[in-house]
Amino acid sequence: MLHPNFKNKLTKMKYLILFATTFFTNFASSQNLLVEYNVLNLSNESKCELFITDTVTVFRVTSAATATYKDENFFIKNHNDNLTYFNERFLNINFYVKDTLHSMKWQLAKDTMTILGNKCLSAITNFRGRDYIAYYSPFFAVSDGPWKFGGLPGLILSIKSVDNFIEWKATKIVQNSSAILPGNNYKQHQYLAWDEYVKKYVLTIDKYVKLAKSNGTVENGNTAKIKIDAVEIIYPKLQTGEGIIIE
Amino acid sequence: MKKISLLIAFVAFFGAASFASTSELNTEPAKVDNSVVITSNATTNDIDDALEAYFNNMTCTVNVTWSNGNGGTVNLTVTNSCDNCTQQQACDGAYALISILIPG
Repeated sequence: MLHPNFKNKLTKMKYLILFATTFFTNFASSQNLLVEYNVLNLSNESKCELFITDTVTVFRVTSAATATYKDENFFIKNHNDNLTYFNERFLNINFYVKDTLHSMKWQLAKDTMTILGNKCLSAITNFRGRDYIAYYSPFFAVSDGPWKFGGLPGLILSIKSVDNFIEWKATKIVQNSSAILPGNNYKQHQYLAWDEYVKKYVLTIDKYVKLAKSNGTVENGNTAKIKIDAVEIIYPKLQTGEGIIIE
Repeated sequence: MKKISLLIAFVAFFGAASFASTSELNTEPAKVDNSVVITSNATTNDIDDALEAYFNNMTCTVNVTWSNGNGGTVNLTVTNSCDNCTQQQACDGAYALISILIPG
């Protein structure tokens, strides 16, 4: 039988411990986190980094797979409005696009993997035409990951498409990183919502095909096939099978 | 005895030289002779066939890859096929199509 005063003190101590734990966890989670990833896309390799803060996450390519890469791309996740801002270059058009943050639906799985000393749990999803398996570490109190991926109860340290088209794998984690964030310049552009972008992309390709036929780029009697392989399958006619056939 | 030794050395030397020469040749790409021989007995049909072999259903595939902001690549393939054209014309058609699609 405990003395009532002692019992009271014990309860207070419990709250104190709980508060301290919560405070420490929140404090730790509010620190900036820098994660470096190796990207393997078919036989091409590149390097990327993810810089996570409370308000924004920046994803950028640090070493591209092709020598001609122009560092004109940007990719920003804004945690305040739950949107992702980025650009997509195609033809001579630079599309500015905003997309819902972490829109993929996850299903938790049983596999585990240790990455950079962190025990990771797994989850699967289908995102824009491909199935993915992700390994995330709940140790990091962030719900983020490379490129558009995130929304799991932890940090995604590895994610791979089941068809082996692409894989991002963490190679380094730096806590309390002092990487420089971009300013708010990205907000100056007029952004297309994802659905609008897809419509415009399809329309652009269709117009191009029509034009190529009518202006003689594809001469009478010729047959041309055009196919694009990219991570997101947004125009299946162009990106699967033989691609678009112009006759 | 001395003569036999010399003979063995001679055979060994030229054998090795011949092997080395063969190895070098293997590194060269195989050359296929597509030319058609038209003899004095050739008929008009033979000449038509020869021309068809040169101008018939040519295909040219051009592939371009560029890096994307997600760390991956975009791979664009254009295949152009034409009847009654040369290989060069088929490739010119493929280049004309692909050059517009590459991000500027």
